[in-house]
Amino acid sequence: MEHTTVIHAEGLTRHFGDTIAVDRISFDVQAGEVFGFLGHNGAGKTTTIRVLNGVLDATAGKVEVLGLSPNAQGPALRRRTGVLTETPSLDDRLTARDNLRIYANLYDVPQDQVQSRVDEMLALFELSERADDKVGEFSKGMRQRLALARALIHQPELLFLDEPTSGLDPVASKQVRDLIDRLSEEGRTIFLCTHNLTEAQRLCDRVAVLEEGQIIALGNPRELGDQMGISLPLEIEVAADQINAACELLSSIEHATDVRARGSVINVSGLHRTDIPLAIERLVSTNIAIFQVTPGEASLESVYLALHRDEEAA
Amino acid sequence: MNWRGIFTIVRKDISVLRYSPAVIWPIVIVVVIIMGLMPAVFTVPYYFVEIPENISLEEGLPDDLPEDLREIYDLIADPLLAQFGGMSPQEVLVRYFLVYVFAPMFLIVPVMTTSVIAADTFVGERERKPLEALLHSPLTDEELLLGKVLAAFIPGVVVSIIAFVIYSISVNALSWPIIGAIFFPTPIWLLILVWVMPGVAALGLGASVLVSSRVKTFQEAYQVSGILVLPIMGLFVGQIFGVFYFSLVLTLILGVIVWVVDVVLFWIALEMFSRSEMISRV
Repeated sequence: MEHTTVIHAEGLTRHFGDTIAVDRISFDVQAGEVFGFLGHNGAGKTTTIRVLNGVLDATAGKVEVLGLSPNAQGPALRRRTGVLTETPSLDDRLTARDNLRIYANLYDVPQDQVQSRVDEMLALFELSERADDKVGEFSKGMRQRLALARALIHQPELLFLDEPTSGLDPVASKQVRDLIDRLSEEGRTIFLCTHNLTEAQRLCDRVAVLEEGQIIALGNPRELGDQMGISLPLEIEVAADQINAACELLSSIEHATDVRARGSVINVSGLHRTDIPLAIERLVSTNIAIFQVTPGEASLESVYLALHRDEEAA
Repeated sequence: MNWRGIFTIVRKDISVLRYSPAVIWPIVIVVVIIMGLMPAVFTVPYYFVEIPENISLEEGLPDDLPEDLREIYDLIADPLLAQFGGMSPQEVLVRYFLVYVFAPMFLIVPVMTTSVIAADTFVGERERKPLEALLHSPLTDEELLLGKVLAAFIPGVVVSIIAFVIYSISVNALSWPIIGAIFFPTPIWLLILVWVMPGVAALGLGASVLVSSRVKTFQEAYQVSGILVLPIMGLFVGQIFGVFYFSLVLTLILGVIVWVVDVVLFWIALEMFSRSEMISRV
């Protein structure tokens, strides 16, 4: 499949006086990808979105988004992007319908389609029944859904989502995550800023980990796990009568920290990805019948914590 | 120019004003007090002043004019006093206060209305957060600024016209027992309405736009812009003490000065207004 680069950043830097918010970061985002931008609060995630969308000028570096320069062609670029800001940034004194109608007009949705597009978004985000209520009366989850609807009202090619589930209860968070899943399935490119690692692991194809304005890791969670030597869970199904021998063999592998059997299935913890062929080889060489091997994913949380341990040690 | 986007901002900001008591009430109070109540304060007492019927001002102030009235007449500029020749002393005082002294007071309405609305749309919106989404919209900086400016200027002018109508009605009604004729608006006031008032409205607006990039809260922006009332009060006091009066020539010159200041203010505002600067303060 041919990839089209939607975002290209090279040495992107942004200063605020003496403070360096974003420090020489470089990355590419491909069309249709969900790209996670991870980091603590204040790591430079929101500033990066603002620079990429042409709202804030970069101090240095080269940036191209959808083939346009955000700095020089901001209005043309913003016509093709949608942004969910960290706070929903809605007008509380207006109704949900008015909030959407205003942005449909600002984003130049054809006049004869404004009404239908607004109704469609309200229905999609399950807000039709509250369409004519003032947004000030909405719950956090409803406000977030409405803000997401607003970001999508003009059917943007690229969506910037800044902490989309921040401050939401588990039910509302799940609703928002499901919506992001749906958008991803539609083939939209999504740039997702978050400090929620579980969310990033579930939603993102690739992630960049940001620390004090610099990217300290970039790749998909599995690649990062490999690079960092992060352990991952391994599940192996063997012949039931060989379970004890198999457990003994697996326990002898260097990184294995915990080996447990349940029926004919063995769960091994602590192995690195590179240990998996060795584990299989040992079982096969002793004629243990293997029916299934299922490696788990390195958790992004482990990757993230390992990265930060390294940073602190450095 | 993206006029659709610009007028979307204008419509949005104006429709939001309906739900903003912090904006509406100061405007209503100023209009009611300055345009409705104060003319009554300066008119009704003369219903009860006893002045000898044979007094005429054609040959200067008569010797038998009551002392307290003489003090007021002494403050009226001579050329103006000459224009009042043949009128009764009460009529002179009523015309002096309602037509001349009050002219600068009327200018408080446009300056105050546009500065309070601009403080709300520029700084208040930033405080309440919806500004960030607007800054991510496809409008250019110039379109965004023009939309915001019009959203304050249009209501400012409309409110001033309403205030003018209220003042015209109250002046004619209150002075009827003394003058017995509809004499307001005078040519000077019509010139103030069409030439000076829009300029002063723009002045309040320009000042608010400049202030908006330097302050954090709506109240702060409103208070700083309120400083513009001081030169207007200077015009009021200048007339009270007979230093000058609102003649047609002075009104024309005042308008020219105001518009020149407006051009300078908006040029600076356009230079200073940047999306980057605004979003850094969100």
